[in-house]
Amino acid sequence: MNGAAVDVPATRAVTFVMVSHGGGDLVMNCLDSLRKHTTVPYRVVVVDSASLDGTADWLEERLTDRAEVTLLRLRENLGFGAGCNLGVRQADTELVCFLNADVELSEGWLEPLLAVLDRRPDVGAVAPVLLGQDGELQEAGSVIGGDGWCQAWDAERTQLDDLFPRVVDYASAACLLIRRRAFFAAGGFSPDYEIAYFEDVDLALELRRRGWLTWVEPASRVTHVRHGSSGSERAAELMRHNHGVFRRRQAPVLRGRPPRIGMEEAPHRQIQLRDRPAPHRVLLIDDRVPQADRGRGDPRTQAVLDAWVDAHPAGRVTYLAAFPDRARECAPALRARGVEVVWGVEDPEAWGRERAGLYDVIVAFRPHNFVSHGEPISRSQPQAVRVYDAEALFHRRPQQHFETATDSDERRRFAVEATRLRDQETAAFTWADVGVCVSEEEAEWAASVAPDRPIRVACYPTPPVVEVPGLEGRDGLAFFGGFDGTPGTPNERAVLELVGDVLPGLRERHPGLRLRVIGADPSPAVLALRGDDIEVTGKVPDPRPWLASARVHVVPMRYGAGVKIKFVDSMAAGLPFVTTPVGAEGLHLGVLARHLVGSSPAELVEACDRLLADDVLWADVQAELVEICREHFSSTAFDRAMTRVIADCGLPPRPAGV
Amino acid sequence: MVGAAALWSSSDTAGFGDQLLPWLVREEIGARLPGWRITTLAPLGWNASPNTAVTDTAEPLGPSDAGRRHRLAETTTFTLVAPSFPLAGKPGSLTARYGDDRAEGAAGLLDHGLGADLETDHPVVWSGVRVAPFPSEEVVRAAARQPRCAVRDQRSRTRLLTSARRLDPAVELDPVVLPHPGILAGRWLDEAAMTSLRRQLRQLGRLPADDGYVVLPSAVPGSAGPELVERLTGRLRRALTSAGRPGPVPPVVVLPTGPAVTDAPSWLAPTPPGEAYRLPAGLVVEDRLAVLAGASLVIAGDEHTAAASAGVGTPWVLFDPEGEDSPAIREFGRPEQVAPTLGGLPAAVRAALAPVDAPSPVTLARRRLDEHFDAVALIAEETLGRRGGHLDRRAVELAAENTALREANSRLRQRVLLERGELVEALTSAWQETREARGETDQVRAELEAERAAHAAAAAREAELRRELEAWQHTKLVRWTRPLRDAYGKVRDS
Repeated sequence: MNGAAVDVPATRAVTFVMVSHGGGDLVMNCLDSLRKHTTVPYRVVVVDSASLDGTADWLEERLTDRAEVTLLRLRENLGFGAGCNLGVRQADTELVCFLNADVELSEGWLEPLLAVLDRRPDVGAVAPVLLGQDGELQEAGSVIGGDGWCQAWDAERTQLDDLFPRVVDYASAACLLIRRRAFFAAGGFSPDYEIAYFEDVDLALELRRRGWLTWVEPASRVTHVRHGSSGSERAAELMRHNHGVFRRRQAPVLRGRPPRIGMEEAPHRQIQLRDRPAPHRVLLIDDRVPQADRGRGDPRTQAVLDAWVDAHPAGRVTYLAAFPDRARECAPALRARGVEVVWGVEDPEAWGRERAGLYDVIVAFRPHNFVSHGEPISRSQPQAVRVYDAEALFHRRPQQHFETATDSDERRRFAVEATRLRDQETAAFTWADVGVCVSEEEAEWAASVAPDRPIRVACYPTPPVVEVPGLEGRDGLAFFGGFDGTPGTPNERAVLELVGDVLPGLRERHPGLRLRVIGADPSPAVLALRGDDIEVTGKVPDPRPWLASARVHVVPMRYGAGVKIKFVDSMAAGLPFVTTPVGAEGLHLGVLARHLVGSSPAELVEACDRLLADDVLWADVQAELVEICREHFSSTAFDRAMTRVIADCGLPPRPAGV
Repeated sequence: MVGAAALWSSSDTAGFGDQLLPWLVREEIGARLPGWRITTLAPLGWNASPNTAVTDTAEPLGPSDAGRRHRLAETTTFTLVAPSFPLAGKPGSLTARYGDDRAEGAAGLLDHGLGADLETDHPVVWSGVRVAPFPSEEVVRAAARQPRCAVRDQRSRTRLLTSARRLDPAVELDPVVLPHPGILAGRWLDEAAMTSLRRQLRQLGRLPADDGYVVLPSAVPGSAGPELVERLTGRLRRALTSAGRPGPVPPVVVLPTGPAVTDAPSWLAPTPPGEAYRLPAGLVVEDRLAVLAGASLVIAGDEHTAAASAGVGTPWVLFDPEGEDSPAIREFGRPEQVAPTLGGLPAAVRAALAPVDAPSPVTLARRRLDEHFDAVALIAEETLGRRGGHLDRRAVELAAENTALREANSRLRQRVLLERGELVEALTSAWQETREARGETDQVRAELEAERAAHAAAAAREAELRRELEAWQHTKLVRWTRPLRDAYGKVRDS
């Protein structure tokens, strides 16, 4: 065994198997590259397949001081598959890596591949992305057409930065890390094939037949120089012969696949072939790539996306962001989880046609995305189950404004806006096969406009609430919510009402009461509130410490729809809150509402006063809120709800052990 | 929370039984406990010399001190014990077997388990072990503590019971005698894979050109090397003839099955014509099973090879001069298939090749193994439940999964019906349109026919008139008056 002394389990040792037929200098280069860039214990088995140019002798002379390398000399050229079959039998490790001598390795190439096999017991083989010498994508796995011909997923089909880890039809054995027991369970490289070509394609299908997936991990990249003689007449003859063998051996797998020949003229066939090994294909459409550091529904979108990703680790999930906000920055985290991330689609209908017939499920979030993307794309996906995830009922906010506005022009404008959004949302729920809302109240409305569709409630998951801080160390009021830096937002209105109408009454009873306004992008009016007793923090990296240090969270919301996540976060932090009926919607407060909900400023003052003055009441309310959070807003509750949505779409739950 | 099983075995050595037992137990338990993590442990584990037979690296069992026992009990839910060698061996037997005194520390764990205090929460289950003569009190008590104690021969059971009675008649002990799990081998490696592996070995010159060869052991206790192969080969012709198969003896393949990997032929050594094909030592389980599956007869040198042959459906004989392995094969084969001496070989071959009345002993033995592994899985689930109330949760999760599956299936079915309805409607409309279009086409076709007929009639009339005109133009009156009419024309135009 060679390699640096690193702290890795011994099970991660690797045997590299190289088959040579000429090209001894390439073998030596590759061995140097291995020594330089491999950080786990390893051995190398070089099988010389009866090189005609004396390569075996040449290698034997040069390998005398390389204890990690074993050279085996075949008496006749049995080819790549037979050489590998012999090499694997000489390996004494769990993992074997087939490596062509014309592959150049680079730093950190192996660790991502090992991580996939450590993490995923269902993956039998994993390959890096192969790059050409010019740095261009040569292969990120390959697809197999119904005619038995294969196509590398290369630079003509995708950008290097757009790659994501995924299950593939097969990956070239030029560099392929495989579990040795999976290799033997699949019967190894079939001896039906002559010398070279198609034996690795066949192996991937044999692995798949026995439940082992072949995976491509773009975090690992190697350069494949391609010094082979694939252009020669002999190579063409071998390829033709082995292609015939492959078609005969794998006829049941090839049946029903679109042909490789002519694939370029039909982009939808390319994508269909790419995603064929995935057990299901799901398209999610929302505003932007979820940003971990912001609110406005992003955490919930992320949670829904996670539920779809978790539905099956090999499932294909495509996330289409209607807007490009920070997409380049946020997409890599999603891609690392195996999600295909797309944005900048100018003609959604044309984009859908390029993927015609691909998706099993289309999920559209929010009415404008349904109109702009969901519906146009779904025209080319008649087979897809359509899900409309409302996130919140958008028509309610202009409707609330309409009800409170005094100016007739404003009232007219709000009425028109509410009607437009109501029509869009009605259309969305009737377009959908399954509707999802965040609260029972909104689900009731959805069911009234689409009575023959299942409407599910899936709100928002909070991390498990283990222990919350008690009264000690808490003081003052908190207001939590983002402001978008613009005037007139519901949160701005709420904080202005709090400071203008509620705080004075409270201060009479609790002199010196402090208020902390926590939230991103405070508007000028909010910033102007800063004073001795009012702190405006702006955006904070983690609101939890702030929520854990306040005594009462107060948000007199007059406008809003859906469940206000700020209150769910407040429950999870054990912070009692006071709000209006609009704010309390969907929170399952029950009898607790009488302590926490008030309509008028006077009622809000009373509710806050009780929680500020009565320690016993405060503790009881906190305990109740934590229980509500555990029951309705836990990750278990959310998972349960999403399992139902996924089942509604006809997809099975995640299999055990995967 | 997912459960975790520890499998204590001898998978760190290259012997066929050392590899076969954990390979099978892992598959059988894994199939019954989906999602469970199964960790293999062995006396030296990854500290053992690397060998090519191992495809699943084991963790070292380590010494049997209190700290290690606690760690082992904490990291998994329950433990299965399935080494190929007999438990309760004499002191130093593991050192001798492994050639490394670090292995001896594992004897305490393998023989005595985790201890009574830890095993209340972490059962240790013998899954078909063998027991050496005169097991100690600790071994007997370790066996008695187990919720299910399974040995793989009657003799081990008797040894345990005898010791128990002698040491403490109050000890309650009732070991189950289990057939060798090797008879399940055919379940976990399919025929296509075995055929492919055999062809590869053939391509490398390690097997004869065709199936139907006879497999011989490279060693049996007390006898090894070319002499053994020669002696066995020498008896083969008579044995096969006595079994009603006269004629030339099929090619012979020598399959090493013991733990030794030295003095074995190299992969690339040629086989001289007429000589036995010698396979290298350190073959993986899959290769060995493939070799056995391609044979017409296996002369096994140990219980593992005999069981695996039965597992892949190849007739077998156990050559057992010391009688050490014979008790184990009685659980899945017939005593007549054992040849205690070379002279007994013809009778044993005759018994092996004789037609078997259904149900065969192997069929019944497989049923007993299934019952055993079902019982072990139940113990595992119950333990998981006891350790954290997770059994209920697991049941709830399974029920939820089942509901979700049924829901998904129902939705899918509804969708299929919906799409079928839409397809039929579309087809019906298309058929209707086709019918209507056909009606129109027929009408247009009839009109076309009528037009064609009218056209033909007009053409015929036109031809007739043309002929009439031509005839008129050829009359004398027209011909003779032409100069006169031409002259008249010129005069009129001038």
